Amino acid sequence: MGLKRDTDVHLALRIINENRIFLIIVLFGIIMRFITPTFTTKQNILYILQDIAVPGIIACGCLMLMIGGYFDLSVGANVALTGAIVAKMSIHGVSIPVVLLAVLLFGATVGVVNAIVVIYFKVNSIVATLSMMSILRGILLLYTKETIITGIPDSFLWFGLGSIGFLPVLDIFFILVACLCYAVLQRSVFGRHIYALGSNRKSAFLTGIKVDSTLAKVYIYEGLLTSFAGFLFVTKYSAALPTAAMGLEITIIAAIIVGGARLFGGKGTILNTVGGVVLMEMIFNAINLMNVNLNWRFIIQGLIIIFAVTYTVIFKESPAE
Amino acid sequence: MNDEQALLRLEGISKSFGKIQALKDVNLTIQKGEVVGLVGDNGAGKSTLMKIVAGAYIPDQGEIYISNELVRFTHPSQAREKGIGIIYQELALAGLLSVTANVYMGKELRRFKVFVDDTRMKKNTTEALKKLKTTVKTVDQPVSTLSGGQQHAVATARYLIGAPPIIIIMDEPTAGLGVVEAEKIINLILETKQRGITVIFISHNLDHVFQVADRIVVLMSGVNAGEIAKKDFNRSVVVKMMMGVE
Repeated sequence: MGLKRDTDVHLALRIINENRIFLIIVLFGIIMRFITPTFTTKQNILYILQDIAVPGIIACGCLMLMIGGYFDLSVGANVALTGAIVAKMSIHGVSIPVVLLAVLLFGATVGVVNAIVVIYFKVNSIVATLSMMSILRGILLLYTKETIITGIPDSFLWFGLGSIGFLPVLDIFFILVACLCYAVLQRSVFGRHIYALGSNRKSAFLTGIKVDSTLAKVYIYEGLLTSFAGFLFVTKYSAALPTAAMGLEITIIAAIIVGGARLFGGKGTILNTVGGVVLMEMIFNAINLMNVNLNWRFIIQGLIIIFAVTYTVIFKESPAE
Repeated sequence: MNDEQALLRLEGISKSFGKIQALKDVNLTIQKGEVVGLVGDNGAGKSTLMKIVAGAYIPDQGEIYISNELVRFTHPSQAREKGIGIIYQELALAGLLSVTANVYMGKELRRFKVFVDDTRMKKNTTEALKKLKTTVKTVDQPVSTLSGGQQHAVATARYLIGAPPIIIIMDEPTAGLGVVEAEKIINLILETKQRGITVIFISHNLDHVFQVADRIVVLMSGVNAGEIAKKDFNRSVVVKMMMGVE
């Protein structure tokens, strides 16, 4: 009996520890309510809800990649360039379905190119996607001639600014994407193979998993999700900026890492990543409310990554293989 | 028995890694139901040869026949589909994943084609470990938390679930194990043979090989160095062959 109770307590503690991000969110919310009561107003919570969708969708894709042991640092550039493409096409009167098709085609292309460079040219994924970031940023600046594109038709803005009941349309897409990615990662054979790849690539290969095609698929899905998020992003801000989404890749990595995922693969969940995104956006929102210079966000997210990675090392939560 | 009836036949297998020639024109014939001991000093090419049979390496030259049918493996999954099982020396486990996920790695049971059937996989894993007389706290725990012997059992359990392989290759299964655990492996090999499964057993421990093998094949520096039938098993003869001394 006593033994049974021990294991129950142990299990409960483990579950709490694994999902500690939600504890941190609640604590942060309570503290912020004392510092600035505006933080917990209905209006402000709605702002946060609107802000989590775009990074949330990207984080879902990047989490799959990171569980597999790989990175994509080109997500911010991908979002910005997708935004510019959407802005230009929509201004020229192209219909929503055609624009969406172009967006997905673009995202898949970025995914395919990243996959080819990483898998066939065997370039380290950090280097490969950092280069892709530079390439996409360059294309964006040439394509937009360094100007802001405005005048996106109202029909497009429903995606970014509309709501169904109290829930922003953005979040409906976010919830759909998160559920889909949850099903893939936790319930599908493909998801199981992604975890195996990130836990031990060689073992995955030796046991007959097609590691290259698994990884290529993840890069393509992640590219699709990121470009789709880029579509939502530009319809939310109703303008495409040549400097849009700068540093977004760091926010995404920070969110995934504070969500408890292992930096080098094999471990991580969608639920905790969603928690990580919520916490990051709550922090940015708090900075804004407290009238702190917004550029602090870059410093804070850098510190968060260092702290979160150090924490997992100190508490030995990241055993090798 | 002639070579056309052999279960597995390797002809003229060569493999280089850069400038290092690991295998040169190696031949090997395995009959159905045999336990063959594959021995040789470090770097003799035993593991490389077996990885070629298992589809993990592609040979530069040479041919593989299974029941006289020419096969060309470019991926481990193809060898597995032909009934070749292998327990790698490095066990090929994923430490962060559960016991169940490891046992079924690469051949997960499915529901509706795309989803994993965790309930059935857990049940079968528990049964397979029971057959191997191995106890783990729970099949949900990460493999990295297990002892060496338990980890070996997890790698072995892969061949107790689903359709049995026609050949099972065991690469140094007794290395680093205690006397009792090694004895378990020796018994496992004998049981496997009784089930009619052909076994290729790689080991440095000649006593273990003498206990279970019907025949010993010796490799030296990547070439065939000779074969010895059970009736002629003799430590000094084997060691001389391994060292290339006539």
